[in-house]
Amino acid sequence: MEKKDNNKIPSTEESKMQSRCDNNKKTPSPKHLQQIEEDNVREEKDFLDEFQCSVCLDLLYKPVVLACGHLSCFWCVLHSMNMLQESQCPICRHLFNHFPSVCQLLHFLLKKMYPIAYRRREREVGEEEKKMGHFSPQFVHHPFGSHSGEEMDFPSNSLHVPIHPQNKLCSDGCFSEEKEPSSSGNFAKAIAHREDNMKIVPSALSSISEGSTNAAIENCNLIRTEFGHGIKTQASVVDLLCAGCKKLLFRPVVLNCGHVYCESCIISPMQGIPRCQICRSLHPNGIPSVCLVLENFLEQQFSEIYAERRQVLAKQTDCSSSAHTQQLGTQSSSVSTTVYPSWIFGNEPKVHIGVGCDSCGMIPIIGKRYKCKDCSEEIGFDVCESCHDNPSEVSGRFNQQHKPEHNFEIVQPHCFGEFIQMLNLDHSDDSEDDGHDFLAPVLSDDALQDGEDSSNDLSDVSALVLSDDVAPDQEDDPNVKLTRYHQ
Amino acid sequence: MSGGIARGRLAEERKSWRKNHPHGFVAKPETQPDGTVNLMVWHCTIPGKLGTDWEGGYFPLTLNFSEDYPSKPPKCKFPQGFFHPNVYPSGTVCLSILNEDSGWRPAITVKQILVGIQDLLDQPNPADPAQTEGYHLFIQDAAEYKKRVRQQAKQYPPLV
Repeated sequence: MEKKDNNKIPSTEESKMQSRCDNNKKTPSPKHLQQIEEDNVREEKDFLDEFQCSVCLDLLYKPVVLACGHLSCFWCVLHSMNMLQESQCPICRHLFNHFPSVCQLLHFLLKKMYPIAYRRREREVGEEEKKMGHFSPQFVHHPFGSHSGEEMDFPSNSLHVPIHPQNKLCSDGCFSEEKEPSSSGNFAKAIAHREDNMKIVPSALSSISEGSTNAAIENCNLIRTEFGHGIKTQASVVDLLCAGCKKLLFRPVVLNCGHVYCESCIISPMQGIPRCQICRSLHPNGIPSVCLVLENFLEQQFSEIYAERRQVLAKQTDCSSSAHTQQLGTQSSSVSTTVYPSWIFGNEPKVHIGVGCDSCGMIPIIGKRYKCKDCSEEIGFDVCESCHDNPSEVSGRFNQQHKPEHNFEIVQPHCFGEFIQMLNLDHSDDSEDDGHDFLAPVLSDDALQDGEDSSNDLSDVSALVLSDDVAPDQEDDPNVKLTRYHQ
Repeated sequence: MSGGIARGRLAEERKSWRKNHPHGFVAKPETQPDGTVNLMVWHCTIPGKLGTDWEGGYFPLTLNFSEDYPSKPPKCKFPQGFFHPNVYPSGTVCLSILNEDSGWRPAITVKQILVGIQDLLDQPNPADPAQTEGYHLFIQDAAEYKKRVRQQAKQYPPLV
């Protein structure tokens, strides 16, 4: 097939995409030609609808699965999050307050199944990230399965100096990742992980080979189907194993840390909120719901194995308990809505508007905020109190090079007045408080907006301030805004 | 602001609309005087539902997308003075799914918005009035309301 070596021979698609990028940058070619070219590219869809992000309508890139089981791209979720209070799922408006880690299992699955489309997304998002100056986490693939992928960098670590984020996007083969456990403090930990991996891999393989499903798996592994004008690589069972039982996922749920389990492996009606067996981090958003997109995919791809799993589990569990967990799954987020307004008045608990925890993903941070004094990234590195006290394996939402030996300082939340000044100062390019910078674009996404009609009153003052901020040309004296607020 | 997902999403919306869209509807991005396409403003037509008083009308609607789309809904406007209990005098449509604080979800597509507004035409929501005239006639004088709706449908004949 012509696509075998994309690096050497620019495929037709590649060159088209190149021209599409050029289109955006204004080429001298006539307008109508550009249009035709663009339309041609856009008409050809290089992935299946089931893996379309419902926010950007493109192929899911670095998918994040929310507690309600809906999924969207890393940036799509972040941009639709509310920095002032709890956020709503972009698909079902389910409330949540933790930005989950990227689901690496899905990330590598999509990368494998749609190599061309995924690389296109990688390039597009990479350019976008360079413009923003903020980066999504980078992952390195583990050849035997995705669960242990994040720790595989270890052997190469001693040889590699941390790579600057900009360079990280260039090739997916280089060993760049969100964590760099190169310090001596992390050494033991890394070894422990490595041993974990060693354990995981053989058991995964043995569980497969002992099953009656051997033939089916071989088929899955070997089949490559023509898809569109590119090649779609079929997923295999090894790509879709439960992090707990190491069998093919059944009714998959994705925890806040991004690890994927069978519903029955991680949720027990007795214990309630589950803890991840791999990274030991707590899942904060109540009991997660089954990721239906993934379940449908499993059911289609591995109908026989899936049916078998269903039968086996039906014998083991009674229906009542699963009905019970389903009910729990729809419960609301773990932080009560009432705490959020406290930031306006400066009451307890402290709500750090616009600042997220880089460990558990809580946005905004409630309680004490610990800010890293040594991370040099513009985006900053912050953790909430419980993550500071119990450091977990998940870290660096934006590819920060945070090290365990870094020091933290406690930062007080901004009061309302300061916040408004901060917003106004944003345009004068004041980047003194770098922790907030990445949130500036997101802040415009918050839920405070004028009512249904512009001709109506703008009773919500915060809306006034924020919408002024969005349109800097209408900027007037900051004091005027404050007076309006006090009225 | 951030590089913005808005344009990419709108390009995808347009692609999906061209592939398939409900019968009688029109939705296309604005073409500027210099021939370039402005994806941030769409000119649409919503046909009145068959079998209702709105039948026969092809109502022009403008969708104004902001750079924050799809985090924020587009502003949907009929012509100024459009007669409907849930349309503001300015023409802006008042509909829960178009309100960021109540029903908007980034997953709602242009298609769903237009079909939603078509539904709203014949099923106004008296709990959320946006203009006095349409609202009062709707709750007080059904016959006059019907007449006005039919009259308005005639004002907006099919373009072809």
